[in-house]
Amino acid sequence: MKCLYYPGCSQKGTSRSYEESLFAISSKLGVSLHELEDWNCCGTTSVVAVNKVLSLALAARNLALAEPEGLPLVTPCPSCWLSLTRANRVIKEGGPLAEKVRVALAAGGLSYNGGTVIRHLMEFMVNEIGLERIGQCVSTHLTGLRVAPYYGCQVVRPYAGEDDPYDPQNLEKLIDATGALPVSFELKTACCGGAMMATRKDIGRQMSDKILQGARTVEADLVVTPCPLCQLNLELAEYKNGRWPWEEAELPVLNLTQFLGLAMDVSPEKLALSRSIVPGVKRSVTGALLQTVSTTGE
Amino acid sequence: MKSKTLVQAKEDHGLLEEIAALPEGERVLSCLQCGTCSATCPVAALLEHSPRRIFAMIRAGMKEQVLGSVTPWLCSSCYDCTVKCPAQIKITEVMYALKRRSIREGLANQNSDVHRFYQLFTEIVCKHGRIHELLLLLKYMALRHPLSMLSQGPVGLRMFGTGCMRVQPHRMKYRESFAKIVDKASLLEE
Repeated sequence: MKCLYYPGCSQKGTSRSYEESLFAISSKLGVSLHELEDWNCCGTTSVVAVNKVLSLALAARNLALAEPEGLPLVTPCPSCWLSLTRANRVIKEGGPLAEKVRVALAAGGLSYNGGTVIRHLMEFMVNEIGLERIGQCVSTHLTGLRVAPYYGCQVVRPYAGEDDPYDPQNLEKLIDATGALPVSFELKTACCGGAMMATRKDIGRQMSDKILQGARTVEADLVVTPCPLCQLNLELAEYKNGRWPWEEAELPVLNLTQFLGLAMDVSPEKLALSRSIVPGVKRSVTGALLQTVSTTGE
Repeated sequence: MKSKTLVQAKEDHGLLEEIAALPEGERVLSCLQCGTCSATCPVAALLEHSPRRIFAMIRAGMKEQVLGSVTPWLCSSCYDCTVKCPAQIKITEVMYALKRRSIREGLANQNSDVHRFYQLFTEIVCKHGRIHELLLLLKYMALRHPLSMLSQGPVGLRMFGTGCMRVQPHRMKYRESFAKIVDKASLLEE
């Protein structure tokens, strides 16, 4: 299966582990990802706070670049997915705002006719690659491993797609496909604080901390998320009082693709586990896996 | 009926009229003041003005207080209120509109530098095409307090150690075309 790949800025920087682990599992899943040439930032929640037409034009430029390829545009980042989806809707609806975006694109010699289909990786895995195929790729069943499914906000709100915005299930389905147990996690769509970890650390940390506490309360062995910013923020929140947590206190927070790769016997190196900001995640994750595998005798 | 209300509001309620005229603000007059937004908002407890109060203030014509409030800037764009609002007001999008207006009218709260983060982000994206996390954080921290960089030392070093902090900014292939789109779009702002 061939598709266009829109990484989003995080996947080239703070969340390289998400991209690297995605590439490590995509061949197993039979998906070939072609990075969109010369893509730019989607604008995310930042540019729209400064200039709306600019934010839409930034997103639309990517849609225009993707359109001639005629392939679905898959992104692993919920915020990119939301920004691109919103721009697509504005342009398809028409009206004065869409006209301004059209004029801006034309200034750069581009045009867009609304033909690009944007998919978020998680939903694409469930609905396109399919749980059956993913299940076939699982070589180490993670039976006994308790996993907190953490969606974050923007992959379910305001557009939930085919999933339930109040009680989404896509992440649970993917966790279940590995044999692990998706624990019932009340805060699964709560906000990690987003950019506030940078702008208002006092608030951002409090929000991310609440989610970590929630995951600990339901005795999760690890947290899995499809959002690079959530992954980063939760890890940053583990740094407390000037130090990283000790082994027992540590709660690994993995990208969805890193987690799936573990069940597909992809090496920790290829899954970029050592890029986790919390030191020792690689060790504790492989330790938890060994324990799981030995207790279940697989 | 609706247009009559708007005409009456014109003198004292410039902000209300402006917001109501936006595609995302068309339902702002339907606010029931039910408080679902404030009950849903994950930061409401920490705000001087809750989202519900912001909507009441918009309707009361308190333009300077609304645009000078940090409430819109502390909206993390989680869209929980948007999904749950019984009046179907696109609250998160209205918060974005308030952010834009507070910058444009020079009314952003000067005791807070949160809006500067968003401005710096936008400047970097316009220049390089993609965000450069290190540049953004350095510029923002330098503006805030150069010494605050020191307190971030251990975390920053760790991020360099994991190879997650890109040093070299991205270079776009079609720079000229990109710059033209950015320039045009900036001129066409709503």
